[in-house]
Amino acid sequence: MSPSVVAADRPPRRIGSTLMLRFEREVVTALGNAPEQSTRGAVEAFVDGSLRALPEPIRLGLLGETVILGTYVGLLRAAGRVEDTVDLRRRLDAWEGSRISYLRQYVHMFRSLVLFAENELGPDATDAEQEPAA
Amino acid sequence: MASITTEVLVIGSGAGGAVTAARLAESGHDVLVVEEGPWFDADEHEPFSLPEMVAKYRHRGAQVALGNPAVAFGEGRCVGGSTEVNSGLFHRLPDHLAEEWQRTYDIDDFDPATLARYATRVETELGVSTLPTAPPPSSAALERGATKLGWRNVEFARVFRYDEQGRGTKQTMSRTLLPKAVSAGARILPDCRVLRLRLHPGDGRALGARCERTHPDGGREILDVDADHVVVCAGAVQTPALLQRSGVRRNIGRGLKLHPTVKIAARFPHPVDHGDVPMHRVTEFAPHLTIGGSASRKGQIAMALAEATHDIDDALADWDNVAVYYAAIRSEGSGRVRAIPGLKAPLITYKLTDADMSRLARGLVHLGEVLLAAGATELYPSLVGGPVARRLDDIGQWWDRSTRSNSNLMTVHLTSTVRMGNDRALTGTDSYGQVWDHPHLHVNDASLLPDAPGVNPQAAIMTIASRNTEHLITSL
Amino acid sequence: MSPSSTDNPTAVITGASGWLGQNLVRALAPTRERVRCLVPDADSGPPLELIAPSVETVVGDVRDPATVDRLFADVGSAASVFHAAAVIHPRKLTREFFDVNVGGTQMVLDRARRAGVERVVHVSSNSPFGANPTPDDRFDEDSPYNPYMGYGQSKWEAETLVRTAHERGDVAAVIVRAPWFYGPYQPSRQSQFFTAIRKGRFPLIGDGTQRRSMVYTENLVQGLLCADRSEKALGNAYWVADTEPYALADILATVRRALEAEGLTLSGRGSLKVPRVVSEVAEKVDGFLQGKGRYSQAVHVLGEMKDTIACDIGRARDEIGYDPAVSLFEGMRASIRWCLDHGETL
Repeated sequence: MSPSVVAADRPPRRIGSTLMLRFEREVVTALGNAPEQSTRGAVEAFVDGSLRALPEPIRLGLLGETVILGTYVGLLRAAGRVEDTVDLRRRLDAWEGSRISYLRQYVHMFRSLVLFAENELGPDATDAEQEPAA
Repeated sequence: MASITTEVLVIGSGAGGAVTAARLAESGHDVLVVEEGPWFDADEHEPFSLPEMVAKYRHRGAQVALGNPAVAFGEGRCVGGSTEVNSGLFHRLPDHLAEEWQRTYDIDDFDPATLARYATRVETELGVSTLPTAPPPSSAALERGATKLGWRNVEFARVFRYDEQGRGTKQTMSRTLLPKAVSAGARILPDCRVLRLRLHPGDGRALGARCERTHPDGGREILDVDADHVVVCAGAVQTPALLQRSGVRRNIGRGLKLHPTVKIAARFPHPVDHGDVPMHRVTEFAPHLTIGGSASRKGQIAMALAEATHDIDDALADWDNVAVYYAAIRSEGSGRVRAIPGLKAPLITYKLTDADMSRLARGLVHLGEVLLAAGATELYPSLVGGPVARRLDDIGQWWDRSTRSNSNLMTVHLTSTVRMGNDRALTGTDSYGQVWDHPHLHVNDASLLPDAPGVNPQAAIMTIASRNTEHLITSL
Repeated sequence: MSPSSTDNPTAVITGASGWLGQNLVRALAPTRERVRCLVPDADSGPPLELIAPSVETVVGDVRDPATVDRLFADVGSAASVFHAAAVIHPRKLTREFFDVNVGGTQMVLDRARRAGVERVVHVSSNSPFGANPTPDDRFDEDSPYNPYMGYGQSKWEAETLVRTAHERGDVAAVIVRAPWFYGPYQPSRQSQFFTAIRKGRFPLIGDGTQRRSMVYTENLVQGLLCADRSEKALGNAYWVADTEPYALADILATVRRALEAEGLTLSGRGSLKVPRVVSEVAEKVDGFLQGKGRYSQAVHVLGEMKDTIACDIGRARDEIGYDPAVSLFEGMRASIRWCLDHGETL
């Protein structure tokens, strides 16, 4: 296996990693609801860490889907069918009701991670804790 | 390369491993416990919080058994294992299951009376009790709703000890049996992952294990453990994965059983609590279906609301009045754990039958009924597209909406991947957990249970592990 | 059947617009003060309500808690529930078996308990018992469970729910196990059965000596009423069928005679001789399809036709006074006549 997957075992040394692809970052931004930039940053860091911690078979499958979906959205952008984050969000919402299970589960997973992090890290979280120990 | 010698190597420090280590150490045997995860002070993390998921769970709590539908789950990965992160609900293995398993799998000394002896000792050691005070609102709601419908319900006991002020502390392995084991001379090595078991090439006898130990500065070293006996207690997923990686395959990893659950986030017209998991269960439809409550911090509530609809802002703003509940089934389907060469994590799959899917739909409907009867005003089911229910009339449509495509399932219990018993066609170990064809190699965790027990498995796991260790001691 | 003054004045019937249900409503309506019927859609209600002023209908799904609440509204303890709602042949997916046969039964048992009804008569089937191990064996009330396919599994689970409810003291219940039934009010898809036999095209598997118990609807209704009235019945299950099981070859021959007696022209050679192996293959295909959640009625029926599925009605005779009066020939004639009277072409 490639060294970058083995690197997932080590404690994350920095926020943002080549392993979280650009499209995944866009998905996290599109699904996010928090108004504060600090929360959004923390959410993205959490999702980044979670993706890297995924079981390899699952992470690899997800990467494959990211490449396909990222390309597809890129084409839609080029065709002017997706203009901004709101458009992307609408598309993601629609995909969650798709007949294709991989599509549904892709969006569902990101949404779950984002919602959990937002509501556990944001200023009005359960007990308004500080950032997680990375 | 470092090496350690011990008499008994115990792999995993959860419910099974802790009992094994404590009993062995207290009988005067030299025990080394290796635990893949770190050690944490038991009070360091809020239960079910984000920091807890990051620190104490494998893969930060995000695991999935692939299938149609997939079933999400989490595994504890720390000293004390899943006992450090679970609800602490404690329920003995039902007698009728002990009898059924004894018969079907030909297990020696597995009658209810024998098991009760071990169960009693474990319960006394840990401290198992019901609440000394009135139940919290989230739990009282289940009691209230069920009573109104005439449905049987009961408060489950938990492994909690209470102080004079009535404050409860969950009696996890790191608070109870592991310190006991250490006092009796056992050693525990956290941050130590077993790469492979070492087995004699001739007769398959266990010789020890090759481990990789991570030091606080992030550095790693290989550690070879030499042992007379090896007891694998890594849980229903990691135990078969490790055995397979080590070349042990017969009846290893098949027959995975879960308690698939569906959930509802229920909005009440009054605040509810968010710290503990409800201890009341609706047992009207047991053993096939049980209804209870689930972790309900704001994060879990947000996720549960979003299962049913994208329009959650109103309910989320009101989150203090929302709690998450579940209906769990005993599943007829089963799954597999397969170690993949070159990958650290195994592939896990699970197949649910149509009868299972129907039972889950039925569970969702009954869960909706009891929550409405409890006074909930809005119900958000774990169905893609919901619909959200506000009255009894809204619930009937959940039957047809509960398809494989629409269902978001999860489980917190996994068992049965290395079953015990004398029937070699069905089992991976004998009646006491010794792996067939591999002398001195044992399993002593949830993998042994021939089926999912329909209740929280911790009690059954510890009872069986206790019994098996006593048997092992007689042969040492 | 003369009304008994000790009959519960209210009868609640699920599956009222079905094949068995239509016969049952007509038998109960004259003798009960109130016959509350569950029907699946608005169109099925009026024909039943026309039978007698005692008939009331509730429209909805037996799985739906709100519907079953309405079904049992104002039903007190002086009531008998006849639970006949079930899916025998799903339209497409085997999931329906479990939703209706298990989920619906649970809903009815729960509301029956809350209403405090005097008893529940649950209509079950031979399917939880599979096929007889030998051609001379007969199922009786001590035979072990051996569910056949999805339907069998779902009806088995339903029986378990009923027995548990009885044993826990939730409801007083009786189980009536009915085999292959025939009689008036059959759904139009059943006409194919008569047409195929008339044209000599109905498959006769093997030598046709395998035995099948059948029950004429009037006999079955009588059995259900006996189960409702008998004190001894409570907590028990009873096989209710025609006097003796019939050899498959005899069934086909008798139906042909009945068709002729009702003025229809026969053609063909009696039946299509089909080797037993065809039925064995059909059973395998059935198992495969159902394993994938799918269902084909033709394949399922063909798969069962090699088997002996036969029961002994001795206990129902002895304990609850069941005494089937209608013979196969007469029962088939009545069915055929009913079809012709209702515009079916056979």
